[in-house]
Amino acid sequence: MLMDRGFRMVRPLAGGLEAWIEAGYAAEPDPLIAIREASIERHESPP
Amino acid sequence: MSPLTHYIMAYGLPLIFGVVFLEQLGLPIPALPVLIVAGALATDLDLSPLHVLAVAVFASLLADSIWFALGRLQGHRILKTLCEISLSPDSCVRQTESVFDRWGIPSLLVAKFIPGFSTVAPPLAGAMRIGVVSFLLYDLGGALLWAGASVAAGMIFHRAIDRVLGVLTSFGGWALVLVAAALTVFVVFKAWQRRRFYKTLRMARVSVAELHRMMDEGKSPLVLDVRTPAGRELDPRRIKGASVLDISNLEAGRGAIPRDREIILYCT
Repeated sequence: MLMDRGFRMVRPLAGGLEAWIEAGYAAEPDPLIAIREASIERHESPP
Repeated sequence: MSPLTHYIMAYGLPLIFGVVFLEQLGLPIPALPVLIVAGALATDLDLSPLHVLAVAVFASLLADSIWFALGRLQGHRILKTLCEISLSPDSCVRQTESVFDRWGIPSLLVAKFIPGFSTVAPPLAGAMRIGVVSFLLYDLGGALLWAGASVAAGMIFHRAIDRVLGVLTSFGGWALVLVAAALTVFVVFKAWQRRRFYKTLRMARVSVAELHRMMDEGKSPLVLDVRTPAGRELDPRRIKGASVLDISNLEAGRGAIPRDREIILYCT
């Protein structure tokens, strides 16, 4: 779809995220999901 | 009497159970024509439409529950395995997640009417940790709609179906040969299409080692995470430095994508 919109240098990653993590390369938590999980933990933790 | 009518007459409800159960497990068995013919026969012969409906719904619910449990146990991996079996694996995971993203658990109500989505939706619901009661209620509703519509269509159009069955009977064994030939042509065409697609993709793909080397050498390609929100929810990690691109809303995001940098896309 990007190529249809004029982007010429587009390549997919073989194996996707799973292959990247299996190869032991650096991954980080999704910031939005991490923020949400942290706020859930704060709400659930006893006063 | 056509072979299909003969088998429905001879084996009745156990045949309907078996066909629906196996189809919902993912086998390429046409349950829909069986239910429609059963509906037509229920009008003409001694076969209760309510019994047909109950058996079809139970078989469907049983098969879906197995996939739901596997989704719960195996998570996203089972979805990938299931899509590997499908004839269009490349779009399968993304399409399924997109439908689920848009409609949520109520998508189970219409799942059986969407080709390819029917078998994939229950394990996806399991992988997304949907509650058992919610799953069973929505899946029951979906099965009732699907089987009910098929049986009702058979009952309403029983005269037309009788005529079609009559024509098929006049072909004798050739009717089966024709149907089998059409199915074979379809499967061979899809396999050829898939092979050609993979060949193109293999030439264009970048390996994880190559991407890592590019990053190390400071070539800094733009790495885009194009998973659906549901996919990112299932695995909340992403490649370090990657940005998220919502493919379903590409027009809004494409202004921010530089044209002079190499772009590497990844999904699960």
